[in-house]
Amino acid sequence: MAMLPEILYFAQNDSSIANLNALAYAVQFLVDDDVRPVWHFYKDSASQSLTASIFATVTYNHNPIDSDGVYAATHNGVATIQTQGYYAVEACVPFAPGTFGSMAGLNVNFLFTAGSGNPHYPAGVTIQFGIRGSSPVTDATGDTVVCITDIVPVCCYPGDTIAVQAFSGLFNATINTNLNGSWESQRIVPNFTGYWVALGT
Amino acid sequence: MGVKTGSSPGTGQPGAERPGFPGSPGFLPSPPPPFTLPLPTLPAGSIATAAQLNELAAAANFLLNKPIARVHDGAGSQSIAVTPSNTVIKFANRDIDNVAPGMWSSSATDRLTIQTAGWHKVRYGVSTNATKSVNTYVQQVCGSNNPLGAGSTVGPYWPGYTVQGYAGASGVWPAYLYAGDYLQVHAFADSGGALTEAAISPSFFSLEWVHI
Repeated sequence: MAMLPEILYFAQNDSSIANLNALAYAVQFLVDDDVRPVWHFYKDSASQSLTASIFATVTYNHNPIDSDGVYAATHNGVATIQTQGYYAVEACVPFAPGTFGSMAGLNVNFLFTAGSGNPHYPAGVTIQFGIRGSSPVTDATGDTVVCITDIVPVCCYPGDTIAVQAFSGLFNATINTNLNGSWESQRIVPNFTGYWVALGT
Repeated sequence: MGVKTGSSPGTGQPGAERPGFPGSPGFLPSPPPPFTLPLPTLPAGSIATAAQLNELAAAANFLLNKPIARVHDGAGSQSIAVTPSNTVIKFANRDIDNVAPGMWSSSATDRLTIQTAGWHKVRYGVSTNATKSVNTYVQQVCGSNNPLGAGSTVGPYWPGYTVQGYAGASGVWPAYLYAGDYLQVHAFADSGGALTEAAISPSFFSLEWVHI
């Protein structure tokens, strides 16, 4: 958990080292991504199958950027917030080529789930947000990629989680990974990025 | 460093020659000063005063609480017109709005109005209750502080399109935004008939201040 900066104002003739260090830490928090909560997950393991008409949590097996320890290998589909604040999130999900037609209903969204430490929502309350649909390719050889971004609509508290969900309306789709396949497919990894934006309550 | 004015020529910032946006002149003479964060100049050998240190503290405090707003439409039911008409989406619910008097207003739910000048990141999505084609975009309407003139428009930018009923896009708005300018999300359906906005997975719209 990152320590939240506390801005202390200076009185006349104030020479408090503590105040100066608080100011220095605030600047470090703002400009240093090893301090400010930032994460980036991606998946390069086997593809992930989706059951039609069910929102599935996208899983990730790598966390190359994770300054606040939001990733857990045993809980690899979600970011578990460690530091209070407002967050922005981004994700891209590539769907493997298939018999998409034009109305297959491929959608991607985020899912916020309140933890036990959230003072505004009971634990387990979920909020679906940031949804976007696809425009599937029809040549049956290229991936269909859906990218989404949003600001989490509530202030996040330690223990809250944020996940990426994928949905296929009409058939059992597959989330693809970078397997060095053809140039039209298997060249993009599912990824999920988030970062702390501002103080909040 | 002295007071930052954000007026570097050639960067697209106020005071610079820049390409004309739709409906605007190509050269903008003497615009009003943008938002500034005063920062002190500390000559060698000087002793920082409380006022100077507080300027630094205020700048950090601003960045820790930088302006963000996020709204959504939880009610749905708005009808989205068929091209060549379009519908300005209304957002009835304020999720986040941390700058007074607010980028969102209950009396004008179809827009987010800039309170702190600067460059902003836009994120939005329009949700419908049908698996059909949806086209979306964002447009700026200038306020009285903008040298383009009140009522001038900039854009459309950041178009979105899907055949699945959920369209949106995101990016840094490509024009400097002045206090009083506002942005709106537009949507229209293809020729297959009007759409109805969905209440589940609702339409959303957000602004994040990113730079002076």
